[in-house]
Amino acid sequence: MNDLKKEIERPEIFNAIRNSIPDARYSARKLAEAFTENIKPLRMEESEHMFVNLSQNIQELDYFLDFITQLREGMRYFDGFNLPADPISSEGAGLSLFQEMHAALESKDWIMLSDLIEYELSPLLLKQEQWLGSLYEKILEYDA
Amino acid sequence: MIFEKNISELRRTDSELAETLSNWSGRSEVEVVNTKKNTLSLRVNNITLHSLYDPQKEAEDWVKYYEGEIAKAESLYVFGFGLGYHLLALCRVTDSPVCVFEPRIEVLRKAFENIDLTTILSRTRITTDCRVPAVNNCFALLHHKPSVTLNHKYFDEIQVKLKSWEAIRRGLRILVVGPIYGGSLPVARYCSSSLIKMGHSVELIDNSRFENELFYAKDISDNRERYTRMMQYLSSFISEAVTARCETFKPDLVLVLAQAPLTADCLEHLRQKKVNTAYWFVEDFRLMEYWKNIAGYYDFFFTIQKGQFFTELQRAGITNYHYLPMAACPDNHKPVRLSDEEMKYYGSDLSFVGAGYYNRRHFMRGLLDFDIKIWGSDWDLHSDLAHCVQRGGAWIDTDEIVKIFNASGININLHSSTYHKGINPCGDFINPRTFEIIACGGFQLADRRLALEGLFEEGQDIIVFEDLQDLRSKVAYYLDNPEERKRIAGRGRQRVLREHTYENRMGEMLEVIAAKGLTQPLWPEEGEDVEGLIKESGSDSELGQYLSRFSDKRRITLSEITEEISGSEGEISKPEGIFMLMNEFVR
Repeated sequence: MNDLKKEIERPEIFNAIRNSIPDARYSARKLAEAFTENIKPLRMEESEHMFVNLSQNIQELDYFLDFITQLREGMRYFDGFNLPADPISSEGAGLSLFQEMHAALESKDWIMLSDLIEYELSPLLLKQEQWLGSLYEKILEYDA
Repeated sequence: MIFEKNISELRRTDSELAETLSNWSGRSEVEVVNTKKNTLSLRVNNITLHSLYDPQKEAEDWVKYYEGEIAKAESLYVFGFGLGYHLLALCRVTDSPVCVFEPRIEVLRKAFENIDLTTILSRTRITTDCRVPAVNNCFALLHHKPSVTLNHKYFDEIQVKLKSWEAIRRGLRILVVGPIYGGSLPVARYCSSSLIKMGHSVELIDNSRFENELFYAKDISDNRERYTRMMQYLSSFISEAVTARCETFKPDLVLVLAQAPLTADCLEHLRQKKVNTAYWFVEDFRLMEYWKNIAGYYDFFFTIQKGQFFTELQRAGITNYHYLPMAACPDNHKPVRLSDEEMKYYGSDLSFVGAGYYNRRHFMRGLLDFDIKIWGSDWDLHSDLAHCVQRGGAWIDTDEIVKIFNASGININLHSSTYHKGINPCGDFINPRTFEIIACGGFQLADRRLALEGLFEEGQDIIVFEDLQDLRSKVAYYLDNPEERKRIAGRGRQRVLREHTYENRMGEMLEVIAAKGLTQPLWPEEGEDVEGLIKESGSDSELGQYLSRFSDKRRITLSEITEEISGSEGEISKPEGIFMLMNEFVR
């Protein structure tokens, strides 16, 4: 741990990561719920309201993924935590899911899109939230 | 194995579709795919039809999504079959009849091959074409979304037709336009009263009020050109009145009867307003050729002849025609109790009611040795028939005609011809008298017409004659057998009441219109959306519950609500009081 402490040259990064994780966890949970809730009607009908909500969710997902990219950048300071790779980045899981979602959206295959969101994306976001939780615990442990 | 079981179940209710599915061997764009739950889904043209994770749960969610509509409806129309998961789930929660529309035979084939559908096939009707069955009850439309996405044009068409049925069931606004005079004048009245009985809002433009003007134009001058011009003015006047009335009445459908003098401008105006128009050409197309000038202006052109007339219509580039034979109006054409005096006055062994056309003048001479009375105009009063012609050949009104039909032992029905000496062998329509005599409970001997086939059972509902000789021998036989006359007349009457009333015809006409789909006229909408009002006030609130009595209407105005309150009995409720007060303010 002492070695690790040495590696942290910028305490402001450490603080920023620590302080942002609770918000990120909350966002991941809420995003998973919102996607599941908003996608439900798509199996039954196409409504403008539903598409507006969905596009808002996708935008929020974008912000969240930006945060994860930033976090991954900051993670090089935390190699010593021995945390597994985050679920979204792991083996390109997120990338391949987003490509499938994009294809479903392009071909207006709403059942496929609903399935991907309900059975893949939302659980993936919840896994990401758990991973963030583990990371946070490690950080607190370290901080102590 | 599953396929055979399903097909054998389907064969009980729809052998034609069972045959089609059994013989289907087309190229399939349908791909059966495994789901994560080890069940099956379908993909067609890159569209997934059922969840690839849990199709059964998805089906249950689908039923839940529609549960409000399912509970309220008496019949259910489902757009899309897929593999049938949603239908299996649906049939678990309702006993209402289910009709499924699915245009892709290959999808049905895959469903029948892979899913056990035996529990639902006996109560599910499957339609693969664009024909929509008549709908007479409250129904719900349930969309299997991916199927609709795949076949949106097909389902758009079905939806328009079903919506047309819904509009018809709720009652249309129909403007009936009659002629100035002639045989189609009473028909316009019968159509109008039948449509009212069927629950539609109907207005009859009764142009008989212009009869004096028409005859005045005829009599004032021998100059044909001036007469034509006067008639054009009269037609323009009547057409303007119809256009004006349409603006106020805002009809969904304008039904025009033969000889009604509407101008092309008027019909063009109605077309621009997207008003549905129908014309019932209750004429012989060989004698009345004006159909060529008018048929193309109407959305629907109904005729009392088919065969050669249809060929002629096609040749003229007209495709919107439909056969609609004449009928009887049981409110007018019915058995009546006659006094002894009336029996003596109107009764005879044989009677004939109708104008003295060329063939009738010749033919009736062969019956002069019987007790025969002839009623109607245009008979030669200087011929040997003169003593049989009643009241000097005066025109006879419907009430008296009904008495004659009731009082006569045998009613002769000989269709008119201007150039045959007896029966017109080419005659291909049935006159109204055929139905009216039978509806009155009268016994009839009618000349043979091919068109009788399918309308009546010869020898059971009606007796026909081939020529004068045949008629004479049948007259002699039936005069001696009154019980047989009574039996045939009674059976024929039941048939007419069941199948050949103006209500039947108006129903058939609306069926044709619904099959093509009603357009929504461009009249400015009045009133408020009833469903919206109920939703806004809360369906459980006092106001919401009160408004729910109008839920069979699409829109409602304040004056319609107060009219309903004024016509009801008992104490006035709170919402009723408020509506009455609001109406007072508005006034």
